[in-house]
Amino acid sequence: MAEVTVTLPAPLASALGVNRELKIQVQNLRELIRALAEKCGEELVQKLIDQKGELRSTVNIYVNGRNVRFTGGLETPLSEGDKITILPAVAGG
Amino acid sequence: MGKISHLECRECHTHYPAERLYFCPKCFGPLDVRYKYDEVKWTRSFFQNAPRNLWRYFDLLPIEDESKVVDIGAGFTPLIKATRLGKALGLKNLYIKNDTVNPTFSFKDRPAGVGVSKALEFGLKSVGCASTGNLAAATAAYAAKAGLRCYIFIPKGVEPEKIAHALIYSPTVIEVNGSYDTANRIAAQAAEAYDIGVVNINLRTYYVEGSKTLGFEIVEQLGWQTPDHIVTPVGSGAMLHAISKGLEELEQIGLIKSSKVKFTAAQGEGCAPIVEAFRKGSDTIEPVEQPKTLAKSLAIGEPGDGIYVLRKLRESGGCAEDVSDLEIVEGIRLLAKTEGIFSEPAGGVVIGALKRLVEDGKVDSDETIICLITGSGLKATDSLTPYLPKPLTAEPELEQIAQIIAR
Repeated sequence: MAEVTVTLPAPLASALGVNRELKIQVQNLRELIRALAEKCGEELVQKLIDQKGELRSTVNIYVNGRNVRFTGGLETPLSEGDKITILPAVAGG
Repeated sequence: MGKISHLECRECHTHYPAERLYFCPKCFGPLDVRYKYDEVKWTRSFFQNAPRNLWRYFDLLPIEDESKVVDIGAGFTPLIKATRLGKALGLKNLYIKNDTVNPTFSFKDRPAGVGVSKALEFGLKSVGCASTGNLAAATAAYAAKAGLRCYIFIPKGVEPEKIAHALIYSPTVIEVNGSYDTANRIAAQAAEAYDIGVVNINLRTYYVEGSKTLGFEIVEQLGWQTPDHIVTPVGSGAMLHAISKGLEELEQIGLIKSSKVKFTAAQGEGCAPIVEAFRKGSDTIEPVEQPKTLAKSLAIGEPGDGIYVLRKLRESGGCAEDVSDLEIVEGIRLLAKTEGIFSEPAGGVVIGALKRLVEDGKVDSDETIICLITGSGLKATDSLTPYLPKPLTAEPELEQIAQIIAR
């Protein structure tokens, strides 16, 4: 188990009524989302994961600044001290 | 009571009040501004005395307090009948929307103007953007005019002309060690951490509205007629989506009969995730981690509006084309030598894509086609120079000039 820090976007944290920064013990990203659901409510899973069980195209998750779409998606392994950032997929102008 | 009715999630259609929201907290979907359309009293004559800039469309732009409008004279750019280019390509009704003549020489003056004005309306003290170059100068110019602090996040590899251009307005320019998508990510984090109005991230809902004025202008300049086909450069896809939204709004208020336009999305090879998805028939976008194209302003590996562009292309019966660096340069040169307009590589992408459409028989010679030329070539001379011939040299003697002329 690794303790990681997760940062949620402010409007989401506010909608869920939780702190923006959370510390969680998990092994990979899929577990992280389950653990977040326990802390923040089951609705969070629907916000992040689509019906096929994949990360929604409207969301980006970064592990230490690297987009997990390039590192194995939800199976991306996590290590002690990793910083996870969840952001809406808003890019370009 | 303001003119905005609400913000609407593009995915789950939840409504929100017009506040500082940039995505749907229910599903992470993007938000669109919806107006009180029945209160818009536009007629064709309404515009006779309107300002000759993008603010002539103020009633359908998301700024409530007119005193907060920051205006540097952007918009209402020429729509030019491209007779010589059309002849070269075998097209009878080809037009160039020349957005190279905006105050910071790209279409980004449109969304940046709306984004910075909205920041002022929200009472923000600082603004910024994540940029491949064009938005940097646009945001910095508006911030200067508004007297706001400005933080610009750019990736490695932006054309030096674009960096110099942004720097002249005295913003803080931060070159992030990574791609555009990396610069975008850190800008998003900084926006929340330091309450910066990053126009294309946490003010995006409002910012993108500026781009729809391109659609308004095209229709107005065609005598309130909708063109058959718009060929547009695509990076994130926000501009294409905004233009389409603008046309739908004109139809909704009854100013045009139909908003139906065929869109073609043009990207550079080496960063064409939308074109790839279109060709595969996919509904999802496979992001590009390391974009590599001469069209750096389009080098967005993970286009925020990609899936919505795919839908628009398919709904409209449009196309998607990606062109090589060489085709980009040929496109820039063809446009310059036939119409006297010097475009940055994104415009070369558009002309290259149009040439392909003609060669593949995907356009009719009678179609009214608009090519969006969205940025000036002076922003990218360094990257174009290797492709250009060297100037001839001569001693100041008439015999030598005669030899050259006789060639």
